[in-house]
Amino acid sequence: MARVGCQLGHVPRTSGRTGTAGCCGETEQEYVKRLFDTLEPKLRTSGHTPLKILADPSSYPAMDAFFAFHCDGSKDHSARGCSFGFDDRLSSAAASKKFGDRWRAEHNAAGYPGGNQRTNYTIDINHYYALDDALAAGAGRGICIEFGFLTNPDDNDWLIDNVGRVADALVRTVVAFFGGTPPEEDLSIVDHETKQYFDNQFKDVDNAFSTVLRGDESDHRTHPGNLQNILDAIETLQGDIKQIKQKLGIPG
Amino acid sequence: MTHEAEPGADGIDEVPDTVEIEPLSYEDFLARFPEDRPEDEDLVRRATENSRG
Repeated sequence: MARVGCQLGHVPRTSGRTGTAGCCGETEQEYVKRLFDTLEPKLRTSGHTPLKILADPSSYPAMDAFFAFHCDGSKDHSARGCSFGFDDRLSSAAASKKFGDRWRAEHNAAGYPGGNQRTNYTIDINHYYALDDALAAGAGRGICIEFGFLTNPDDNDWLIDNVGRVADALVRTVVAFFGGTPPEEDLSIVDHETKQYFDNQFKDVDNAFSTVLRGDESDHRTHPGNLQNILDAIETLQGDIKQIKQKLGIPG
Repeated sequence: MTHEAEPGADGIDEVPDTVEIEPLSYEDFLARFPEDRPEDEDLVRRATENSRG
């Protein structure tokens, strides 16, 4: 199975190139950290080893593949689109391009609606500083990803609401080249209209009922509400029913 | 159409990038850049359909 280096773009810089502030409250650093937290268990479940790498590590760990996580920003808030970069000066260029082509397709298949910028659309992404370091650490496939523009409100909302799908597209990319188990479809409630529908449906039953979107914070739950959680809860209840039917032994 | 990137928003340089901005649908992207087409045709079909929004 593969050791997958995941570089959190700009994290934890506080000066210099700190990343985009976004348009709507979530910065690039905050987003890529949350994406890694979402990705990490999914990658482990698929049989691979995630390696968290910050923007300026003292050294790079041994790895088989490498992603750099970034979101773009523009003064023009209408600008949007995803892309990736690979370094065409490196010996891994052809393998990395295939890796990136696959990721782009997976990201689009996940439903990303913002369109596509051409591959290596800026010199910064083409000659991303960590790609040669990753290759030296063993990553035969390495790319720098721009998931979309956090300065575009539509891109911002989709990326935040669908962080699970963004993570799944990364896992599927790894599985395509290194084997393992692809993730099941992410069943999170991802849009605000659906959340409002569920809240209204349960309002008469329980005023305290609240649907939590992935990424929301809640005092009462440590995990976001989603269909999988509901199914798990039903399964747990069925287990309780079996216990009720069983004899209860009380120690004397 | 071009956009000027925020200073420090991406990559290495603090100097703003000015690049062509014409986001393409996945279908149009592959038509313009056929060398970027992955081998899995079922994936290409899903990417084309699902990214239409």
